[in-house]
Amino acid sequence: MRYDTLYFAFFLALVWLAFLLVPWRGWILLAASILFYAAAGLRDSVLAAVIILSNYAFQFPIQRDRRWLYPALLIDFGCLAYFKYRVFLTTAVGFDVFTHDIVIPLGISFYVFQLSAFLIDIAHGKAQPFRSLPRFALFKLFFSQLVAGPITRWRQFGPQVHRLFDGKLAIHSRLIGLGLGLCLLGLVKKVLFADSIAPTVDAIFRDGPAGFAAAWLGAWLFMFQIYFDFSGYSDIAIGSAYLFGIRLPRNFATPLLASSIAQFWQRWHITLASYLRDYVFIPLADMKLTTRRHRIAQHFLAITATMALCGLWHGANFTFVIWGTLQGAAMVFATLWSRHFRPPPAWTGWAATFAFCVIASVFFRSPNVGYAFHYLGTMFSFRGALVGPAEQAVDGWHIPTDGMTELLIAAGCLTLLAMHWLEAQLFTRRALVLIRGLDGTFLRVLFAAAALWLLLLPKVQNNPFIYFRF
Amino acid sequence: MMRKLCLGTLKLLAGVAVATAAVELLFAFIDATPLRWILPVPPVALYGPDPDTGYRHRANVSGLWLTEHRSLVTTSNLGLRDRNRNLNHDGARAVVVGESFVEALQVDQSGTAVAVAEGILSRERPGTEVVNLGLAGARPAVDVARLQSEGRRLTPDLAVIMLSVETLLLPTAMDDSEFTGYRRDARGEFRLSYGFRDTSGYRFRTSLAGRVYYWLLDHSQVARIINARKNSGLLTEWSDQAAAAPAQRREPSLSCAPTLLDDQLALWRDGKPTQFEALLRAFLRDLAAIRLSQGFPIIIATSGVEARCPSLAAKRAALVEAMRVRIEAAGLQLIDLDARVLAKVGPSGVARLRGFGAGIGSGHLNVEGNRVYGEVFADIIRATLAGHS
Repeated sequence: MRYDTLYFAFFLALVWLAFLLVPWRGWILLAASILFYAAAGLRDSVLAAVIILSNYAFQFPIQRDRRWLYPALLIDFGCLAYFKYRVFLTTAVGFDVFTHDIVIPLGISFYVFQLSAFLIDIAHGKAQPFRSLPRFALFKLFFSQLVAGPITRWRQFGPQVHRLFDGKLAIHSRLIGLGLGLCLLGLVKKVLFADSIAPTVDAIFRDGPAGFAAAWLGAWLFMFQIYFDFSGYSDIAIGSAYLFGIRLPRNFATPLLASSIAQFWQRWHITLASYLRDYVFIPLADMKLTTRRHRIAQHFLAITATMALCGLWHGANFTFVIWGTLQGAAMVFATLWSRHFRPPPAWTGWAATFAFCVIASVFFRSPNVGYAFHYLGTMFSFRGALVGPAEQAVDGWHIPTDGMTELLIAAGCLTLLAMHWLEAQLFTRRALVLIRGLDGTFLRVLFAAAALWLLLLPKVQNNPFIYFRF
Repeated sequence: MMRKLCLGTLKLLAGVAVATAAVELLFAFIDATPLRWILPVPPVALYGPDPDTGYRHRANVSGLWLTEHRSLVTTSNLGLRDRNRNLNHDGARAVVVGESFVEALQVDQSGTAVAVAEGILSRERPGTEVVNLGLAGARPAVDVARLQSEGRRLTPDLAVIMLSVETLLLPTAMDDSEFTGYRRDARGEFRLSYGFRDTSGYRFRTSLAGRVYYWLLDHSQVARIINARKNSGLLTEWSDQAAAAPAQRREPSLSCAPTLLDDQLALWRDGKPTQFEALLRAFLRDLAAIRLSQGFPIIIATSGVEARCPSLAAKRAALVEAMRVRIEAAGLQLIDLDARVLAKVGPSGVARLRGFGAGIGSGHLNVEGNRVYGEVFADIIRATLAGHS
């Protein structure tokens, strides 16, 4: 079920009405979440049920004895490896035993991470096991964050699930206004921006850029496409949870304005970055593998390995591994720089970070490593900036040269950046106070009606949320 | 209590009104600027009611067509997918009748095959006009009804009907509930039938409320959104969710199954099935009547008879010959359009005339396809007009 559709809006409205009218709110959300996931198909539902039951069964032994964590994690990550990475892993070691057209179970990367974090937290005494299976199932299945996050921890979501089932979770009326506003913002990002950019990005990467300007345009637009797509999804996820009085953690904080790569990862896919920091990077960095003298090298290796894993999490392809490794290398470089040189001015840091993200995104979007290097070669060839009419028969996507088009494209690219900056202004304290002051029936209906109009707009091209395929 | 209820209702209505106004302004702004080539816009609503065919283009409508390829579509002062023109004319005039391939909403008006043909012919013989009578979804009965009514109005010197042969075997050709269709009369003969005129939908479209609705469609973005959603269905995305976006280009595939032309051969040569044979007879009879009553030659340019399969060459030749015999017996002319296009671009070039972006190879004619078909139309019209002058 996609969030940018009219049928999801109907589903959400019906669940919300039932939630308000029926006293068993936890059960309503659980039933709705099961229905939501059942739409993905029988195979995905059975797999999710098996993983839920297995994790539910392991909670109590893990609380008693931490060693039970290993078989539990083996099952979780074994399922993830089998259903998402089996072709990648077997072909990487020279075997071609599985069919290549595998379909990844919906949301598996997200819920496996969420459940594994929960089990690790139990082992470390940071989370309490769920005695009730329905409560545990809702913790894992809640439809707002099931498919593509935010990846929530027990401390963020667990107590809310208990309050929900105990009838103690109050719906603050202001959360409803804020939730509807976030849903509208997410739809604007997805429908107006991400889906509009998608055909051009698809065409550039499908046909290959004819010149370096087209190559830079493709990478620039893709960076914004994926931002608007994923942060739009996250806004709708968080906003729709607010309608039920549930607070999910923020996933994006205008990352394309970050002035360093470390800051970028504190503002981009925040819940994944914090998961990787807490459950991968810190254990790796804290392992006593080296002497004190070599501790810094271990630290850098831990950063790089964590980010490579982050890349692999996104998809079973070496392009993602390289993308992640590049992010890690950039972090190591930034750390070394800060040790030996004065930090650059903020705008220089922003420009360097942004340029790096745009360049690295080529690996994220390319179908294979060879294509990515070829694309980067075009980007840095500085040839064929604007292909003239005589050369337009050359294969590849070229920027149309019919007078004003080049200027309009440049203006459009800068406008995307301006929109991102404007979004940052929406989340300032002043703006939030203003919105809170205006909150009421009028504003809520305004948000809901505007969102409905955007949903009514027929879709010309099928553009599912990019992160749904992870 | 009452005051509180009234105030709440007022706030609710005000919220809806302000949101609607904001959406109207947003899309009006997008539509008025180059942003319309990138950002989403409600698609143009082109069609209105017509007593002869059930539906037709409304006059002087302009807006963006979004399906397959984004293009700026305009309709003419005469309510055609055509440039503005006077009914009276001095030079030669040809009309091209057909379905969506002739209508060509996927390209700008000047890029349609008909406009390309007119450009070529008017350069050679100034004053020559080629008028586009294409209408998406037109079945044989609609082609006949359209040629009857527009033929009287436009007084052409020649009519070319681009006939997709598979439409002669569609059961919908005998359905007149939405458009003109062929139905059997009391004597069992197929005649043009206009059952749609009695439907509530048609009555609404021709009423005052219908006229207000069309006015809204021409002036309000929000009305276009509602209209587009009404046409596509409220839950249309539900059925689309399994389909992935066509990110990778697919090589077009050519089917040369041995049975590919069997149905057409049975119809044109053996007169089977009898029901469709009767329909074909009525179609040719009505065109012959138009030719006699209105006094202009009619060429049937057939498409959909696959010309790229060497294994089917003999069967194809037999089919074309059967078509020629039937069509010429009615006093009409046959042009094998597929063979003409194949001769122009070669077997490997045919597929590239259709579709856009990742969908090259299937769908409607693209810019190049319209150019090639335009040249073929120009050749056909030039040869016939020269023979009659």
